[in-house]
Amino acid sequence: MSPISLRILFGAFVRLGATAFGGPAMMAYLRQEYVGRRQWLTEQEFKDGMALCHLIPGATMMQMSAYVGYRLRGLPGATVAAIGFTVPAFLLMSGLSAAYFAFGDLAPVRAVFVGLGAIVVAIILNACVSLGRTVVQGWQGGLIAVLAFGALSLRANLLLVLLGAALLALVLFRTTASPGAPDKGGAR
Amino acid sequence: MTTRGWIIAGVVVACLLLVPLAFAPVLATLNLILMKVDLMAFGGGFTTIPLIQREVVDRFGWVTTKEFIDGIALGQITPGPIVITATFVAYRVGGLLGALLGTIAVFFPSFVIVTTLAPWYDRIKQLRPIQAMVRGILAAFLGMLLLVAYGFGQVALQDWRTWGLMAAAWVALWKKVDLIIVVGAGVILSLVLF
Repeated sequence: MSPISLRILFGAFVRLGATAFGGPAMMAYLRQEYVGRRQWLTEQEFKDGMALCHLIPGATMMQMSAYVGYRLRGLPGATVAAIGFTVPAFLLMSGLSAAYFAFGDLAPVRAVFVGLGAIVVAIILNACVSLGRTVVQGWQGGLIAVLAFGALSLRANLLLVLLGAALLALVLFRTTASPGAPDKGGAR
Repeated sequence: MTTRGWIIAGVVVACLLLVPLAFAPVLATLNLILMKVDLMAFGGGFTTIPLIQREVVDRFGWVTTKEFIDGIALGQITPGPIVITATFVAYRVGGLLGALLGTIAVFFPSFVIVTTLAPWYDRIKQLRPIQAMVRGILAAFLGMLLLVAYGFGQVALQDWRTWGLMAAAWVALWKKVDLIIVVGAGVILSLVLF
């Protein structure tokens, strides 16, 4: 197979970035598009990439784009794919931010954001539920979450909390971890 | 990543931090914070919300809680990652240039990580302790996200109408109704209700 040109790569990821709504659904689309239709990656390469991107910090979909680009064309490919994926969201968000800070005080705009604020609370709660499904499979995850909630509401240092959670997990999960754990499903 | 890649990475970071120093030092601070947020954002997506909130609302007060919630709402309307909310904050702090630099800052460290680890991943995935630790960090983020939900609720849920809208939206999301439909319906309802 001849190497895919950077321009085609860029175009593909701009299109993905402009149409990608809602976390996990995007991942299914990405697989269908790049493993299924275009056959740029094998199933195993894709799975490895997904596992990697879920394990390391950062925006998962941007990293997955970079991973696909990297597999195809090395570092230039990764750069082109990541920029392509991010550009539509960046342009839209800049425009919307400009409009928000210019017209945010108009009555109808204010009304819309009162409602959107309530919906954001629902979205965050929903994210808590899906993150909870991944994390709280036994009492251990729940305990860490409760401890973190308590410590952070008492204004504890965040890095210490995360470090503590990681070390606690090392102790708690060692006894119960089954082969193949953890589940990589729910969290975006 | 190759040696040349690392050199390019170093130059990008230097530009993010040094260029703003010349005319708007606050942007250098912001970029540093956004890079830090990116490095801590295990689990991707929603876990960045509490991390950004903690720095830009609680610590530096660059945006109010209300503005931050509105910025998240805008992040839901736009396609792509929710991390793009950082662009909103950066726009508030430094206009269009701030938004551009801030966006690069919030994506760049994890980009470097993924391109560095991609060739070595086969070995890393054997390390079970790392997976346990990441799981612990995600559990801590769950607690943190709940705390954020509580804080947002205090600002955004003021009367029975907002409570009702929140409950309806939650049920809809629970039932796997598309997010765009929920938001669209919310916009129309808000114009009538408020």
